[in-house]
Amino acid sequence: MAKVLNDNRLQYTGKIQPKIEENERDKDGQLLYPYLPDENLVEAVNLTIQLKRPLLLKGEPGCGKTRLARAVAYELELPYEAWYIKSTGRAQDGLYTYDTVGRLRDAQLAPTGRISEEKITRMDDPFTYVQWGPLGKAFRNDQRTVLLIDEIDKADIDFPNDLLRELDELWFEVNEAEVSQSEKKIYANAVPIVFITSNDEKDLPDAFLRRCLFHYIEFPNRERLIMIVKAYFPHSAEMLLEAIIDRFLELRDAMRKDKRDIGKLVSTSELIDWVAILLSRFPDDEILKRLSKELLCPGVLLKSWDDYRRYVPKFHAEVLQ
Amino acid sequence: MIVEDLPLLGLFIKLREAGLPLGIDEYRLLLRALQSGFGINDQNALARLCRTLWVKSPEEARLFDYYFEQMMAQLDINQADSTIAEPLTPAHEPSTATPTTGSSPKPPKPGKTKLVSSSKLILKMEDEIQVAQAVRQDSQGEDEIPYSRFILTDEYFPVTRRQMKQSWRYLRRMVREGPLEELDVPATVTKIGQQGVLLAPVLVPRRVNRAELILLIDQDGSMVPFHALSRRLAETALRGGRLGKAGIYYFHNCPVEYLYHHPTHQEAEPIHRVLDRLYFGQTTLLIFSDAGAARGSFNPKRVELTNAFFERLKQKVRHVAWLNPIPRSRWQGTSANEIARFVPMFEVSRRGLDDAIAVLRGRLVHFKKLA
Repeated sequence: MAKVLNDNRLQYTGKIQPKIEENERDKDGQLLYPYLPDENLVEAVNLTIQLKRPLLLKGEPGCGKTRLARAVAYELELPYEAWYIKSTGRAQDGLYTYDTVGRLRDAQLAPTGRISEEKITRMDDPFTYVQWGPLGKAFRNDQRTVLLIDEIDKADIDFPNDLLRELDELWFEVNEAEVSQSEKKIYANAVPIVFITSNDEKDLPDAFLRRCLFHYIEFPNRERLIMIVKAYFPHSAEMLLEAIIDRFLELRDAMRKDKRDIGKLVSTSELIDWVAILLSRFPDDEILKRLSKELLCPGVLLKSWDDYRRYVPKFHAEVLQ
Repeated sequence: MIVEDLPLLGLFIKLREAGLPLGIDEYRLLLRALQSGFGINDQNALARLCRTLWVKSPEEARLFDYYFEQMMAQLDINQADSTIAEPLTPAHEPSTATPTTGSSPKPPKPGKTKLVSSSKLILKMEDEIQVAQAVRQDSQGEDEIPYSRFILTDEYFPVTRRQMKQSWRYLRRMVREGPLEELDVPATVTKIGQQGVLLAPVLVPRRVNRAELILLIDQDGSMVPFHALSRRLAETALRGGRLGKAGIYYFHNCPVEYLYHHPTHQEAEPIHRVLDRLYFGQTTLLIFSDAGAARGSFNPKRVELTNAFFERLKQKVRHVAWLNPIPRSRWQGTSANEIARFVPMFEVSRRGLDDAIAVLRGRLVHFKKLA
């Protein structure tokens, strides 16, 4: 019962942010950044927490799919695990890997007497050689863990299907452990809060989609962009930030008109990089003066030669007219 | 609980019929969410909740919006008379949200008020069979969009995109390939047994999917009506990640000497060069062509050329299957019938596609294996 009550208290608001000037870090030593979700995303996160289903996140590159999980973990003060998928990744890797070689080595060394007594007792523990993966760790944690499965579409298309049982029934077996069948089973102590991101490179199987909640992260509107940038640069003049954002939005609009739905547009994360670079390289008044005449540091925003050739002169020419 | 009391059941059933992958669990999920207090503030919140729970892609979102608006409009009509319908979504035209009440003698049909949005829907997603159905039911007895209705219902889509994706999924061939990174425990233990001490572990490559498929598509001529279908087949195969290093090639009528990389018969490549690139005995080949059945003619030359083509392939290709967009009943007496004697040929339907893929996996044994 206590657990149920505990669950009900979990409510993500998106309002509690790490302070950027304090250089807060999480336990892995990662710098924490503010994250300002819109209301729809907050609701989707709360649904995920409440209904205990994974949340599948899609959206333009650089819109904050990956950052969300850490932000949720920060606000709710829950443990955080990240599982970055590689193209050769397998579902098994997220649960555990068994250090067979280590065990063989120890078995070889034990008769030669070169292993301490303490280590020998440790070898009797059937789970000594099990190294837990992110999902395995999340299952074994007594608190609900925020688990990020990043870029699931990079793996083979069977990968998501191999995770169905683990995400659905919340248990898996450690086959290598020499214990009875029932002891091999690892049940989730608390249901992890799972966020899955996808860049849509491959289609995900229906059976997997059916079990997920889905949210498409939209590009933030101007007000939210200003809020986001301000959270990152709390000491800069508001007027300056707004001028930079307006210039950025002009570029984005121009790109959207030319590219329609195809091709990459400048994203939120690039905006933040851009603001950071501008603020560190130029004094405020110089930014204001030169921003209206040219696209400063275009390399931060434009990532292809085509874009570069098209937009740098365009934004230069406009003023000359 | 009485069926009528279940909230949004009608919408749920409609979405299922439209092909969204929803099951009873997903419906119960909605009930749980509603009970926990989500989505009960207003119409937008409800729509948002359903979208998060049920919709998994932008295409599905369009279908959902369409049905949701339709349902809401129906509710509005039922409440009718005095109450003013709330605006549905910000982007919505007010004329569609408030249907003509009172003034007309007969009660307005829900479909009539929604025609604007349904035609928008058609423009956006041209070729899904679900939309075609939706519009057909929707505009019964109406005559406002006869043209688009005619075009849509006239199209021939025996297999939906979703079904194609599901079928491609079966095409897999797991082999161990690549760098040595997985420990072969039994082999290692055996080795220790032999040598008495662990010198080095035995490693093997990981199992990866190496289903290689060449898709050969007959283009132009009698195949013109099926271009949309073949395009869809090619798209789903590409997006499904099942093609491996092989790919999609085009030809006209019969593959002789050259295959083309492009549907408009450009970027020609001699057949032998394409074949040279293949791994020996690993690749499978799927042909999409009417084999002369569309025009209903028998052409011995064509049969001969096709046979010669397959003779050349034998050494290189593991399995071959043929998809014919013309129903089997019309193959009789045409070249297709003859060609079907030496290649496993299937009509394009869910069953036919599944069977063809089973052949490519080496499953349907009653067909003579080529290689």
